[in-house]
Amino acid sequence: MSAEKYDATPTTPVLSDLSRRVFLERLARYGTAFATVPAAMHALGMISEEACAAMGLPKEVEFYEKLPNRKTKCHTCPTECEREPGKESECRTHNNKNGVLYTYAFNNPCILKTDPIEKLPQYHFMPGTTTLSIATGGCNMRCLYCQNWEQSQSPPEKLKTFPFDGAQAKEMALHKKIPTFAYTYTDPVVFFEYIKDLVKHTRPSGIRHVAASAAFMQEKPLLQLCQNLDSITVTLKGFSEEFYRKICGDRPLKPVLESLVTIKKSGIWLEIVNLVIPSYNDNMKNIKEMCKWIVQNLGSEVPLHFARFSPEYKMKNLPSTPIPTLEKAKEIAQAMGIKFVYLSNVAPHIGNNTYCPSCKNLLIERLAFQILQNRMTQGRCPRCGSKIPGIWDNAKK
Amino acid sequence: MPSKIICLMLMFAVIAPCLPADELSQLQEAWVDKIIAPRHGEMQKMHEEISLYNLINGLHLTKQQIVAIVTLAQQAKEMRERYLGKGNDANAAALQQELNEMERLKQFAEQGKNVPASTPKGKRHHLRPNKSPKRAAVAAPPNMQHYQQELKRLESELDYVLIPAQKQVIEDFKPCLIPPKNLKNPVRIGQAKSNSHLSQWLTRIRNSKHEGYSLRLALQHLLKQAEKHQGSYKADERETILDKWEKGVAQARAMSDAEFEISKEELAQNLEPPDKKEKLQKIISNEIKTHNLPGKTAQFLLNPQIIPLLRDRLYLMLQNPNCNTQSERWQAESHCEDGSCTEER
Repeated sequence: MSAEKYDATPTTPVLSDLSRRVFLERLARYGTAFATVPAAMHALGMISEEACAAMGLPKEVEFYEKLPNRKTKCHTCPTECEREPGKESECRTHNNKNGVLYTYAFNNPCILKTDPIEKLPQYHFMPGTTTLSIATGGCNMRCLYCQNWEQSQSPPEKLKTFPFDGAQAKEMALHKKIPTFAYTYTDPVVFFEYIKDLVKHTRPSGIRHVAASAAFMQEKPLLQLCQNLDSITVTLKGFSEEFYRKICGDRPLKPVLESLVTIKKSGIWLEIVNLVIPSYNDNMKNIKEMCKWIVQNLGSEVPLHFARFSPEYKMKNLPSTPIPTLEKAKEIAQAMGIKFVYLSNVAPHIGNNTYCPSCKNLLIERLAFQILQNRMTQGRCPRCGSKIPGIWDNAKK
Repeated sequence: MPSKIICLMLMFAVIAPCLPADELSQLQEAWVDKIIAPRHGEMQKMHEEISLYNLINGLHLTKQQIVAIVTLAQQAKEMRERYLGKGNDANAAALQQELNEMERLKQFAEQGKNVPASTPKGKRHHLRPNKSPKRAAVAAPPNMQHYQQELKRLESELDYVLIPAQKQVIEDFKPCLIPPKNLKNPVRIGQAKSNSHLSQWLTRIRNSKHEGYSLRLALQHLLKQAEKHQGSYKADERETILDKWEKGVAQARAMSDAEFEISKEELAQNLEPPDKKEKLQKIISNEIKTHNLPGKTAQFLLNPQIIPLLRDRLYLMLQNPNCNTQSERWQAESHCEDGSCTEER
């Protein structure tokens, strides 16, 4: 129905003369037009990213391709989501809006908290220090045992989020004297643009940046991510394609292994975690193969953490990993030549401690994430003087 | 047995209103004596066993450690029995002497004679009907100092068996029926959830609409809950805590959401009311240390009750090297798809 039908004097410019229906109709029409102008300008490259963010618009994804019919193809992770306008990517943070792929995770974290760095886990990177852990909603993995599924399996707009931009982050880090930012809990791959922005604002102030990721990422963005990070913990969830397909949401293993090699070559500090799940990836032959691959491709000095599984999310029917299984995995890894093998999620246990690989001297004694004593002197064993790989400065003693 | 208890309870409910207060209390006592008292020891033993199991589960002991602890606990048990035996002999003689004295007093009473003035006044108390028979045994106790020294020696041997992190867990352990989350289910690597109930209540109260008097009432209610666990406070202590909490809530409300998220754990920790029981515990443990007395390690791991529990655990570990507990074994076997759980892993 046209508005004019109800309009007694259609050409009158006076607002008070308009009927309510016509007023609302015009308001909606002009309002929509006004609201789409900045998005259109942004899409045409006429306004800056900062101005866009100030207007409350989501950030445009950095690695994607525009396809015909306003479709988009994301190149951040190997899933390569091809989406029509209005459709969300697998990771739930990227959305095609009128042919432009936006991330809704930018400046929009759902978790902000301080944690010990050992929780990442990072045992060879500034031990005993605190991190500001940051995570947004969404994840590009679909692990059936995810312990943070409330956040990882929801898009940011469905979660309670806390607007937190680079400037605020810098101010907070300096005020609270937080030496490190940790991108963890959900996979940082999905808020890659946000990480870059936080690093840009805080690195000049001496803040370090670490992440925990499944490393299911394409090479180009991964290399950029590595440039922005000081250290990374990669969760190598299993060592068979079958495990990744069955448990991690039909994802392939190969890109993860390639990413691990890329990370190692980039020179940032790397630690690996393997969550041992009873009857799924606790086969010792498989663990042996994994350790062999690590030694051959990443070297024997990359710390390897065997983490104890606890029933979570869609795998609540399983028991926790028996500790002897973890101990056996540790023995195998050590026999394969890995110098620093740890047991996580089991405390108290000697598997939490760091020992000198040369003289077997106890260097760092831990009780879960707590450091009971740190005997290292300037990154070296106090007894034999061997250099222990890692980043040890700023470490509490 | 349960039907007997129900009958007694029903009878009590019917009869109670018709009885005078004195008889009522006697009946209550009789009821406690008949039903509760015989099982009290059983309940206490069960409580202790559950608590010890919780500690054992939290310590993640190895087979070698279990063997060593059982050996030392066995030695402690034998030593305890030896000392108790000595004590019994001494006590038996003293008790006999006490009974003889009472027999003499009975004769005076029977004959309606006055008790001679030479009888010490203290002895007369034993004629009171409610006097505990435990008090009657006033024998010289066995040499406790020597016993404690021996126990301390065994405890120091445990130092070589346990790793420092395990000792830390024992030091922090409080006997419990339901283990605290940080013992049974510690926060895991990469886990976002926090176990801190303090930050949870601070978030709730921050987001609530309570203001002024209503806020004070809400905080008073919270403090009452806290007092159940941490011991009651004096009126002025209570006011100080409530004032501090009000300031804390105002501080939390003045923060931005992001700032509060980052600071809430720290803020909640500052607002934690003083734990009187814990304070007392610290004083006691300091005293124990200064007097070189056996500590918490001896209290729990040299307890004779731990021996059968550890033996069971060891048996289970030897039966199935891949599983720590019975439930782990059952679950692993029932969920094993390819039979690999019984194979060499």
